[in-house]
Amino acid sequence: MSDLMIETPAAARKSLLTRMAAFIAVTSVVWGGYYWWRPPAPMLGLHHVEHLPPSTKEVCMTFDDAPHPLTTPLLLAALKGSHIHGSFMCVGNNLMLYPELARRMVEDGHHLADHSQYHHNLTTVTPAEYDHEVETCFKVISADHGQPTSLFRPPGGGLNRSEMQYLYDHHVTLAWWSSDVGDYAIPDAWAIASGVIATLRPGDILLLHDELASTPKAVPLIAKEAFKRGYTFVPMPESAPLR
Amino acid sequence: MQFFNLINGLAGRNDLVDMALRLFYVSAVPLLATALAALLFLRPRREDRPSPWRILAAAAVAIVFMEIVTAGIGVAGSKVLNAEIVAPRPFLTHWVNELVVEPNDNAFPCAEVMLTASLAVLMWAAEPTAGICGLCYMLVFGFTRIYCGSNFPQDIVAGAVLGIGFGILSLAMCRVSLRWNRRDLSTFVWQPRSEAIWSVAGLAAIVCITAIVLARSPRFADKLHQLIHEAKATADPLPAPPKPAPQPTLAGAIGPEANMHEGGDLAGKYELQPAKVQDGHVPEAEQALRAEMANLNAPHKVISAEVGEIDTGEGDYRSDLVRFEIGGSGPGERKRVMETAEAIVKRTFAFDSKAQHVDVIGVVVNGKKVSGQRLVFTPGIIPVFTASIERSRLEASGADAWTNAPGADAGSWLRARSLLYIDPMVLPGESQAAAPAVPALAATPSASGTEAAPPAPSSAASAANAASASNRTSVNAVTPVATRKS
Repeated sequence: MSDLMIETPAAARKSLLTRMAAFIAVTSVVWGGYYWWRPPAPMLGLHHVEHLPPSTKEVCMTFDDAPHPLTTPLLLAALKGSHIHGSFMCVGNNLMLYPELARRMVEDGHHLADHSQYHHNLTTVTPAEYDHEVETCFKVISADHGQPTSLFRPPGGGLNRSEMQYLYDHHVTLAWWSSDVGDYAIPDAWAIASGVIATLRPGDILLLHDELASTPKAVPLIAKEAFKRGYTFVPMPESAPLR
Repeated sequence: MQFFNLINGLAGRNDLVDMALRLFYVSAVPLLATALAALLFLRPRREDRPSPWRILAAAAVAIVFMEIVTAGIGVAGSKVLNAEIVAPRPFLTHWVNELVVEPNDNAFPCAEVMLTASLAVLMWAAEPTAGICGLCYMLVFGFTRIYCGSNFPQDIVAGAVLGIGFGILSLAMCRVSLRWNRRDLSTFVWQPRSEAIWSVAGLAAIVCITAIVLARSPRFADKLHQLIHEAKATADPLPAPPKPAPQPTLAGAIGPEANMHEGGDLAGKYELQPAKVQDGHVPEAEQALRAEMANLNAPHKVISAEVGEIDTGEGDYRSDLVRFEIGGSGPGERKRVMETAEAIVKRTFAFDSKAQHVDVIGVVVNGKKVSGQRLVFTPGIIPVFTASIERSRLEASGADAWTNAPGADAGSWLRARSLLYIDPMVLPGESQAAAPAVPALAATPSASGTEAAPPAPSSAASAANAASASNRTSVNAVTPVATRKS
């Protein structure tokens, strides 16, 4: 191999130095650039819930976009009749508009969580507004209704990297779901129920919506079949720190 | 999908393996790039090796290709297919053991695997043995991405194919020969003319492969089909023939007796039926309720009355929904609306002994503004307030006792017993006070009470009419309901 080298020892040393410098420069640019492009901290460290532990036969019903004056009473009646405690992902502005509904939710033993203040998709607003969108709703829930929570579900499922970074920095738990039957397309009640039942498995977190006319009618159907199969319904689990 | 479940199902069983693969997940690409840099710069220069700077330039070109493809799919999705996300991540639609949080964006094709594949090809150019190792590394990385639950297998395959293609193309563009093996070195050399041919052929191949893989991606294929279908539908100038109305096959199929134990078979068993029949509606009761409301000499027109049954598993629970129309607008309108609503609620409870819940909705017909509510109403009909009252709350007790006093007006009567809301956005003829909806209610009827002109009742015997005419009798009107209940 050495016979292919056409450099003098001094030149070889110089060339080695150049190559070392190039290697170090390229490596640092690669690592820095990659972690700027894909920040690892929120990817690894953001608290998130997609489903409950599948070892217990627990299922969680979550209702997004609550409260709504037309449908939340129906939903509360259906949940009460089925003896279910669920999680309501509340829009902060709606909580402020309809405090009686929120009071009834808490009275019935349901769990409130954050679904942003104005239900804007956070991928469409600037990161400067995250504080207003997320923190205001946390404050409304804990101050006005005495239910501190750490769970946040992004409106419309909108999640990008700057939002992940914000949630990670503020120790917010990302409340995701594992079963999405698509009730926002307003199917009939039986279609919602059969869709949920068809894929129901231990630890499922069901994504349902308030403000839809057919969801309250589907809740008892889901509950009846789930109880028959030995499932229990729990609110979404919290993880510290609460706010 | 089963393949995905097979691999992703392994996750979450061993903490050590999980942690190792999570760390590998976030550092695989820079690790491989570091290996490539070491291969390029830490070995002494030799005549038969390509210039490291050219390979570095090829890497930059491959990164640009990767960005163009990922951004292009995003733009194509939002502009052409009108969908923010063409190929969603697994956690959006499936049960996933998610070890690494990824944003909710396009999963197809996997950009990181694409980069890894391109880097492996560049390593091949530098040293074929290292290239083989790089491709194996890419497979392990693809496995890790499925294991951690952020990509489907087809994303990985597409990313690998595209990445290898882009690697070859970028090498050609930077005039680096790709040695298939050491023996071919003398025979396989990029010539200036064949370079252009190879580049065009490579680009065409990549486009073809992308099209094939995209067409096989179920979500994308659906969207494409939808798009073509829609284009055809708009191109057809003739209106589609009216579909025959679906016949109700099994009225009230979903009741207590519904075959819920069969779960998912429900969809196949019953055909799609009109919403009125199968959503727990009771048509007979609705007709009767409508007739009853027609007798009610209310100042406003009742436009719909629906009776819905909710099966709570313990006896009858009916929820009645009455919509009525607000004629004009004016300062005294709210008071009249409240009184009508109160009359409707009382009449409904008195009429329907099974009703445990009454929702009254006041609407504006052909109103000007539409609020952002997602609830579907008939076009041109906008709800301006809703009241939702349980039978058990008909008689206010305790701290709310004052609302049973003879002087209490209809607004306070409803408010104390119900969840009563006015949407300030759509209330006709109101100045933009921008006050919270609920407090505004209490103030307005009393403030503008004198301007209201409630119509004279035609029959004093009717409790509802009495309630609508005079607040004083509203307390008495509750009594028959309460006795009937007990």
